[in-house]
Formats: sequence, structure tokens, C-alpha cells
Amino acid sequence: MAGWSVMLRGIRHRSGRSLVVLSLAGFATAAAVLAPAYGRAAQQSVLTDALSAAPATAAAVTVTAEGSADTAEAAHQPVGDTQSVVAGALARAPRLAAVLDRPVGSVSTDTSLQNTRGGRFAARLAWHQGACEHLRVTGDCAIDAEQVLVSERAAAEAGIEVGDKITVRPVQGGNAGRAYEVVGLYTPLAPQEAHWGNNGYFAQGQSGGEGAPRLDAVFAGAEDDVRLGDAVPVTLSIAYPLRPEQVRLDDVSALRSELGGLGLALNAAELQVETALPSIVEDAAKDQDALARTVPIIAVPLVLLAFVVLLMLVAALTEERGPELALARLRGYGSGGTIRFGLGETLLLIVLGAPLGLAAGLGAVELAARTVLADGVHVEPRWPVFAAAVGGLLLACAAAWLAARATLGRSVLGLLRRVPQRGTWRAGVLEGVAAALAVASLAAALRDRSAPLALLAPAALAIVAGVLAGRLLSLWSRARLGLARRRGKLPAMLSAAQLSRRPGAARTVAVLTAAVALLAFSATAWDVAADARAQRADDAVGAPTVYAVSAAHPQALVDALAAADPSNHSMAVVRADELYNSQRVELIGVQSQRLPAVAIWRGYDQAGLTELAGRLRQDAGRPAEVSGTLTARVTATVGETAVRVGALVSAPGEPPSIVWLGKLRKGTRDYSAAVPGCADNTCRLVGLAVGRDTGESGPVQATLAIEELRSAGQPLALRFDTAAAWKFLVDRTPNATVKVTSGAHLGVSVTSADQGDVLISYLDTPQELPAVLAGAAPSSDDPEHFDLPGFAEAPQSFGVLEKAALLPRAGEHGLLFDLDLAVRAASVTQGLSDATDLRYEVWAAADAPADLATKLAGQGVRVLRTETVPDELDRLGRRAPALGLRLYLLAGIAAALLALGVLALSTRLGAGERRAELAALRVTGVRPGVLRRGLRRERLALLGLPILVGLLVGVGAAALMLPGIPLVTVGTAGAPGLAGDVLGALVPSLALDALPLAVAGAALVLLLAVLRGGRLVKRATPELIRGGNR
Amino acid sequence: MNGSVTCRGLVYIYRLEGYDVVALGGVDLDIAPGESVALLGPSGSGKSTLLSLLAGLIRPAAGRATVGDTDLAKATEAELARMRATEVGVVLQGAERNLLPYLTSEQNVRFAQRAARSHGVTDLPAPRDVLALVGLLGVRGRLRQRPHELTPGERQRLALAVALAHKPGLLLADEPTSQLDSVARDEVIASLESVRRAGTTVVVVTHDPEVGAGMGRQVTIRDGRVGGEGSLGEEFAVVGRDGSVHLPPEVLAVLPPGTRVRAHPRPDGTVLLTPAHAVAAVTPDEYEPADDATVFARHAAAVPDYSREPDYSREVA
Repeated sequence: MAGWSVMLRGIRHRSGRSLVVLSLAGFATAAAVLAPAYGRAAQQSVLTDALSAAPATAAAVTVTAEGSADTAEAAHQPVGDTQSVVAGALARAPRLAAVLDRPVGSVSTDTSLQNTRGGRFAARLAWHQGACEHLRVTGDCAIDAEQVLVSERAAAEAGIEVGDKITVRPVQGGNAGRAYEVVGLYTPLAPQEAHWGNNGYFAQGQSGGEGAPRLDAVFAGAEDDVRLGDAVPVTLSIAYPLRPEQVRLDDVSALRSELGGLGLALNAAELQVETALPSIVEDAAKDQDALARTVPIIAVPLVLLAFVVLLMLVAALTEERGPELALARLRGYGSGGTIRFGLGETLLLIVLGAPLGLAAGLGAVELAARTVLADGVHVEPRWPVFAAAVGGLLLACAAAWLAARATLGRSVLGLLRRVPQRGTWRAGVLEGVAAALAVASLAAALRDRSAPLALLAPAALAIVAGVLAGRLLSLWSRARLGLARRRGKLPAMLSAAQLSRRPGAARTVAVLTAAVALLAFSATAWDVAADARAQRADDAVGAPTVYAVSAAHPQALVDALAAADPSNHSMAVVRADELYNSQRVELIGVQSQRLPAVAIWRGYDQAGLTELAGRLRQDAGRPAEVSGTLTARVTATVGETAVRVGALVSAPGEPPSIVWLGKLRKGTRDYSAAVPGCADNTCRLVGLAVGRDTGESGPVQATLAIEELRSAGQPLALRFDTAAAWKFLVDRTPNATVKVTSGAHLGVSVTSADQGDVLISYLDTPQELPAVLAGAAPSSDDPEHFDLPGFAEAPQSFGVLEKAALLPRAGEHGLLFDLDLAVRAASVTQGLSDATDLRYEVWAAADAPADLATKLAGQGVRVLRTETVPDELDRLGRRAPALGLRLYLLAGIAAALLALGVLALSTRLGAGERRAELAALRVTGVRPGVLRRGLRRERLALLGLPILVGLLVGVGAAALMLPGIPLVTVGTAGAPGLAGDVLGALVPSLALDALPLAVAGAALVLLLAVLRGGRLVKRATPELIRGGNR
Repeated sequence: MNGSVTCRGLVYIYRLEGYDVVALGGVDLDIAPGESVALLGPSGSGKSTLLSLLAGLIRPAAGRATVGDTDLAKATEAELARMRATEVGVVLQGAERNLLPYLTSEQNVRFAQRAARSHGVTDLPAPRDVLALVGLLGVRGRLRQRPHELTPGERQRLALAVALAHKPGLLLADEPTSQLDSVARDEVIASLESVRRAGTTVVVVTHDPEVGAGMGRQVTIRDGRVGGEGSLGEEFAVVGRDGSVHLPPEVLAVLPPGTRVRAHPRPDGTVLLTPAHAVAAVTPDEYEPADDATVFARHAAAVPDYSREPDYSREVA
């Protein structure tokens, strides 16, 4: 009979055990495969995420040429010709060509547009490929020469209608106008989509230069219509959008070199290649490197554990097959034949398990890719994966051989003997190797916790803890046995005797302890990292939802938001940043009164934020709002030169302008003037002006006592009695002598021979803007009071209300203050429409209107980008640390499942023998209740000790390691503290997190095992041993 | 493959922690080809140890033992394996221990034949013939049944068949009838007789006098030595090479250990043992064998019954 036949029948006979070996072999192979497969997929995910998260216009490869025909001939070539040139160059860069989408060509130039009524506007005249497909057009699409489309809002602004003729003149290079017929009005379907590139087509409302209001771009039907002459500079742009999901890891180096080659090739044709692709890839490379270093090390403990368990299992199974092996020897099988017979089944199962494990490993990674990793990322069955599988297979075969060697080498009578073998010195050597590895990795961890070897420390500690727990169990059981003997307690004696004499118990305890420690470490690490990610996401976003928007100026945003969200569940925020001492200081202006309802600020609860909001606006004076007519009651004495008095008025977004109230005359008089463009109290008085009357040129000499200012008949609440509120603006008239006297009336004495008007600013806000400071103060003198440019270029005084560890959305270095006060202070000297460095945002609470973005768009505030805490969490969850820790958690769970399998198997393998022993004890008169109690005590020790030691070691290792390893992003380690940080982070997370679940699971297993321990006694009846029926 | 066994001064010592136990203390035994021999003796006398030695499972500490042409003291492990695969068939105590539970009767026989085939044996009997030899083939369907589906007697006969699968010259069986009822035991005895008739030397270790009686020759092992032999219902003490004689228990009841005796050779070839404390009332010349008749009638048995452990404490007392 063929050996195969015997082997297969043996496998079928031991179907349960065979299935366990098959599963374990598959598991070992899957664990081995996991490192290369998951590592690769995670690296690809990081790359895809980085490319997808980057602005599409930045990631795209854009070929440009800009200038007049003399300076940039290529810009004046037809787009189609240029595309052919680029296509020729791309043909020599196949990898690059494969990841780029269809090109979008455009030609544009800055123009001055004149409508039929003679109004002038600034607008960009553009021809853009496929524009109409991305526009909602009312009327016809411009497809022919001399046809154009203008935007709906540009048409409204400029009074243009379909069918009108508009005249367009170049801003540079000539003045010849060209007339076009407006054939349709458009609204962009998605202004921020990559199709439009970074051409700035939809910039209506921004400063158009030379005072002309800017309109959205005018789209021409033919590209030649954009070329207004050879001298007129045009911008030719061909954008090749990147397809992020097509960029594979293997392509990266080729892409870099091909991009270089493309740049060189196109430079020869006077074309420039612009792309941020290399720097995006460079950023992703940091995470990829971290993954490449950490993933294999994280996978090692799992692989080792799998092989140790396989080794234990094969050893136990071979031991169990001892009588069969004895039979083979008895029948005259030689050494080779006996080994083939004894090990063949196991090896066959291992070989069969390898492809299953490979498939399972790849399947698990594919599952992770579909659920956790970036879209478009899939498992890649490349050669390292197969090499790992083959390596795992060979290692499993070696483990099986090692496990079976001792049994296979025994004599026939030795094989037939039922007495368990004693441990050998080899086990001690293996334990020594594990201990040495633990010491080495611990030493590495203490030096640098982020070192690769340091990552082995938790696993090595777990293994050493397992070994020690095994030994401890033996020692403890022996001690308990003696004690129980002396006291005559039978249940304790039975359990202690079992645990002290069974070598399998120590091995089981070792594996259980190591697995629990690994699970506890990985669960703790995951929880702490999850908390850190949640905190980071809260800190980074600052509110449940944040819309980055475009607005003309801060007040426009505030007004639009008030109309869009009357419920006050959202807040306008204006941000800027300044450099101080080469460090960036983030400035955040918030609507203080809405801060408590909207912001997420670590360290502040609702009450704290309410109190803080009150303090931010504590000393805010009422704004001096003016509208209609402004009247000043002034008592004046004037010199020889006729002098007039005026008011400095600030309209929202605009720079302050002087409204002259009238020529000063001696005595007390009212001076009045209409304030144009300031309906509904939208303007503010920001100062006074004294200047020569029209036609005068002599020195200004005047003394004024301003008793009152009224707007629309109502007196303005001005702080005449506060000297600090009135400030002579010396820049305009540096040689003037101005004296401002505060009191019931404001006294102003002016003597000036300078050309300009004398300006005295009025500040309706506190002298110092109250602010919360995070990080070091941007001042070397006084950390509480300092000047720093705020929203305007002029220095703004800040007073620190309190210090915070960090500011929402601004990180660890910045200033947070009231938006209204900051805008009022800035608008004294500057119009904020021109402040290009301001960034506008709307922070929305969870209960803000869901359609806030749409409503904002309806109010003319375009949403550029939306950020939410879950999105940020999702993004952080796909960074290298989270991906690595996820694998660690997976390894911990797998280890725990493995340990459960070992426990079940160790119980099952010896169950027959055990029942016979129990039956024998019952025959001798031991009551079932006593046996049951003994078994329960045994189970309690067998499981309780590993769970306790494992949890302590796992959490201890976490306390040791976590403060030093990156938890959220590469390069940023946790806090340097030890146990306090980790345990502190755990306390708020005692909800449905990994560690509490793991502890609950372990407790449940312990409870079930102890309760079910007594069941064995039920079947251990005396009939069992009658007639040798084992 | 002649199935002969020769033991000369065979010694085996079990080395345990702190002390040694002499299991065989100089066994002299010759078994001719085609003989059927029952090894009898009390528990711990060394019967199974002798069987293990003859099977090549353990090595003698001293003395010589040959099975066929194989010198058991000098043979390598491979040679011993070859011997078991080609010349010797072994049946361990307990039928289940001789069988792979997941193979059918026929497959178990073939499993044993594989080993022989690997040692170059080609003229192996068909499994059916082997099963027929032990009387298993006549029972319907037994060929394809697994051990647990057979009766205990059938299982034991299957164990015999597996040991005979390679047509060995010598069959060694350890307690082949233990745990069997009398009907099954008789079937096994019949099977053993069939085997012997087929030319195989049969050596059986047993406690069962019925089995012993079924063998052509009974060798009693006592205290690690051949203590007696018998055949056709008679038992004889055997004079060892060193002149020692193991007295049977019934004689020991008369002459307890430590008794000084005088041996009187008699003209008729018999020897008279006289205790030293007794007055030699009867001189050797005056001895009449008929005088012993009553004694033998009271003490002697054709074959000693070792199925019951002797009450040594009473004997010593």
C-alpha cells in the first residue's frame, strides 16, 4: 500500500487535529506574507493619499509658455501644435504618460473690458479647452470666432446681456480693442475643479488693479481671439491632470527621471514644465520609509509566535502518534521510512497550508486595502510576497522537523512509554536567546525608542514574560502542592499536582502570556494612538466642520455668514501669519461670541470658552458707525490759511477715506457732509483730518475743540476722554506739530507746513488687542504686551489674556483674538480688501445648517475646501504610524486567537487521558465536587496567571515605548513622559476601545474556562476505565 | 530465514535512577526452527524482556543471542530493522497496539509488507492468504473492516496476521490472549498452531496455562533465568550451564530458600535431594521412587499456572 494512501487516511482519521495543523501552517504562512504584502499596500496607500490630497493643480504636470511673440514664441503657437510637441516628448517618457490624464489646453491674457455703456472692468480673456462642458451656460456656448461667454455675476456687475457687444483691450502690449459678441452667460459648475487649473478665472470682486473692478474670466470661442497681437503677452498652458490611483510605487523613480527628461526636452521648445509631483512624492517617502522599517518588525513577533505554536502543536501531535511510530519501527521501517511515516502527514498539511495561507494573507491585505487604505490600492502579489511564503513554508517545515525530531529518534519501547519526556537543555538555550533579545531591544529602546530594534522590545518582553510565567507557574504549583498536602486540601492538591507535573502546562502558560502581553501592548498602543489622532484631528480642524472660503474682506464674510446662518452655529474666522524670529506665528481672528458654540479647543470646555470669549471682547467700545450725514460741532480758531476739517471714514474692506465736513471758521459751529456709500451704518469713523482748503498752499494752523460728532442726527459715542484712542498719524505729515488733548471735548492743535493733510486716527477698540497666546511670545522684551503686524501692515498692540498650550487649527504657536476688534483696528490704516495674505474660513458647529456651503455660495462666498474632523481622522488613520499600529493590533488579535487555539488544543489533546485519571480518582473515592473544584482551580491558575502577567507586561511595555514612538505622524513622537502619559491617555478612553475590549475578552475567556472546567468530571465515570476503554 | 533462536548467558539490566534491575540473569535457550514455544513465568520474571531482546527492540547487556543468522548483540539498528522486516514478526501485548486504527485489515497487512518490500523482499504472500492463515478470511467483509469494527478475537488474529505479513521465520507474540474470552482465546491458539504448521517458529509469552499447553514446548522463566521446561504435559527443571537448577514452587514449599540440601546421585540416574537438618533415615540406595508418588500427586502440575500470581509471602513464611 502506497505511503500516500496511509498518509491521507491518517489525516482523515485525525481530521480535527489535521485541520488545526493545516490552519496553523496557513496562519504561519499568512503571517509571513503579511509583512511584504501589507507593507507594500500601505506604502502605496500613503503615496496615493499624498497624491490625492495634494491640490490637483499642483499634482498635475503643466506645460506653460508666457510672454509676447518676441519673448515667448511658443505661447503664440496654436495649442494643438504645442500639444503635439509635448506628446512627442511624452512618448519618450512612457511611465509619466501612463499616469497623466488627457491634457487641457488654454490661452489667456489680461484685458480691460468695456461694456456697451462705457464701463471699464478688469477681466481675463481666455480660451479653455472643453470649457462649456464644465459651465452652466444660459444662451449659447461660444464656439466661433468673436464669440464670448461672460459669467452671470460679471454680467450683473457690468450690466452685460446676451447679444451685447463688448470691447476688450490688452492691459499690456497695445491698446487696440477688439469687439466680441456675448453669446451666453455662464456659471461654473465646480469652480475649484482641476479642469480649470490655477488660472484664476473666477476672481470676481478681487482688486482688478488701477481701481477697475475685476470680473470673472471672459471665455472666447476661438483661441486666436485671445491673441490680441504679437506684442501682447499671453499665457499658454497645457495641463496634464495626474491620475493618482495610477501612480504605482515602482513608477516613482522612473517618474522623477522622466520628469527631468521632459523638462529638458520642452525647455528646448521654450516651454516650461511645472509640477509639484516630485515634492509630493518626497513628502510621502517619509511615511513610506517609516512603513518599510516598521512593518517587518511588527510582523516578526506574529510570525515567531505562529511558528512557536506550530512547533508546540507538532511536538504534541508527534508525541501522541508515538504508538504508531513504534509500530512502524516494529514492522522494520528504517529511519527514513519512520520519519516519512511520522512527519509525512504534518509536512503534507504544512505544504497544503502554505497556498491557503498565501491566499489568506493576500485576502486579508486586500480586505484592509478596501476598507482602510486609500481608494484604488490593492494587494500586489509580487515576488517578495511569494518569497516570504516560500520562506514561511521552509520555516514551518523546519519547525515541524525540530518539533518531531526528539520523538522520531526514540526507540520502540520509548515510543510506547506513556511517561512524558523531560525538558532538555535546548529549551533553556531558546529561553536564553529570547531573554538576550529582550535585553538588547530594551537597551535600544531606552536609547532611541523609534529605532527599529526598539520595536522588537514589546514582543521580546512578551516572550520573556511568557517564559517567566511558565517557570513561575511550576514553582508556584510545587509550593502550593506542599502546602495543600500539609493542610490536607484535596482540590488545591489536585490542581497543584497537575500544574506542577505537566510540562505542557508551562508551555501553554508561556504562549498565553506572550499572546496576552502582545495583545495588551498593541491594544494600548492603538487606543493611545487613536486618542492622539482624535486630539490631533480636533486641534487641526478646530471645529466639527471648517470651510475654507474666498471672501472680499472680513466684513463681507461676516455679513454673508450672518445671512447664511442666522442660527449662529457657525463662525467667521480670518487667519494670517507673521514671521517672528524666523518662526511662523499664526494669527486667528474669531467671532468671540460664537466661539463657545463652535470651536473645539483642547483644554477648554464650554464654560471656559464662554468666559474666555467674554474676556476677548471685554473692553470693546462701541464702533463709531456712520451713515447718511456726518456732523461735527467744533469750536475753532484758524490761522491765515483757510483750513477745513474732515472725518476719516472706513467703509468695509476699503481703505479709510476723508470726508471733508467744511471750512473751519472761528467760533463754535456745526460742520456737515454726506458720507457716500455708507448706508445702514456700514462705515465707521476712524479719525479726523485737518487740511488746507481747496486752492490754499500756506501753512496750516488751527486749534479745534471738537464737542460732538453726529451721524444721521444721532451723537456718536466717541471716547474724547481717552487720550490713547486718538493718535496723530505722523507718517503723512512728519514735520507737523499736532497736539491732541482728551477731555469732555477733544482738543486738537495743528501747525503744519507739510503738503499732506494732518490725520488723527481714532481707535474704537482697546489700545491692546486682548489675545490668547500659544507658544513663545513674539517679543524679546515683554511676553505679555507686544506689537506685531495684525491683519494690517501697521503694528498692532497685543495684550496676552492668557496662555494656552495650543490654539484650535493654529497649532502651538499663535495668537487668537476677536475678529471684530482686529478688523476695526486694522481698518484704521488699511483697506482689508487689498490684504492678500488673509485667509478666510467658516467654522461650523455640528448643528450648523447642513447646506451652509450652498447658502454661503448664495451670499457670494465661495467654498474652496471643506474639512471635517472625521475626514481628518480618516486621513491621519492612513498615515504611516496608524498603518503600522493597525498591523500591530492585528498581530495582537491574531496572537490572542492563536493562544485561544493553543488553549483549546492543549485541553483537547490530553482530554482522554485526563478523563481516565479523573475516573480513576473517582474510583478511589474522590467526590466529583472535589474534582470539579480542583479542575476549576487549575483552570484559574492556567489562565489567570497569563492574563494577569500578560496585561501587566503589555501595558508596561506600552508605557515604556509609546512616549517615544510616532503615534500620529512620522517624525513627531509622543510626549517624553513615561507611564503617566500612557495611563493618562487611557483613562478617558475606557469606553469601547481596544484595551478595555481585550481585558473584557480575557476575563470572559477566563470565566468560561473556569465554569466549563467542571464538565470534564461529568464524563469521567468509573465505567470509562473498566475494560481499558480509553 | 530459518526461525531458530539461540541464547547463551543472556543478560539484560534495566538502568533506573539510582539503581539497576537485572531483568535477565543469564538465559540459555535454544529454539529449533518450526518449534512452538510458550514462555511462562510470573510477572516480572523477564519473559517480556526476553521477547523484546529477541525482537531486537533492546540490546543484551551480556551474553549472546542469535535469531536466524542475526547476532542481536552485534547487529546495527538497520540490521535489526531488516531482521524485523524480513525474519521476525512481533505481536505486542494488546491487539490495538499492533494495528493502525485508520487502516482496514488488508491495509494493515500491506502496511507491514511495505517495510519488507523496502528491504528487498519480493515473494510476499497476498494479504488474503495471510488473513486466511489466521482464519480471518472466512468471515465476510473482514478484509475491508477497520480494527474497531472487529471483535476482540478477530482483532487479535488480525494483529497476528500483520506480524506474519512478511512471512517471517519467527513469530514473537506477547500475551496474545490476554483480555480475550475462552472462545476467542481458543481461536487464537488455533491460529498460532496454523502458523506453526506453516513452518514458522512461534514464541509466545503468556500467563495462560491453556495457551502454554497449546504450544509444543513450555519454557518457564523465573528471576531472569530459564527455570524449567516442559512438553506434552510434563515440566522439567533445567540444569544451567553453571550447574544451577531452579526448583519449581512445589519443591520450594518443601525446601524453602536457604535450605541446605545434599544431592545424592542414584544408580537409576535420578538424584535425591536431602535437607541437611533431616537425619538421613533413608540412604540413597534405599530410595524408592514410588515413595514420592503422594508428594507429586499433591504438589506437581503438568504446567504451572502463572495466570494467578504466586503467594510468595506465604511461601517465605
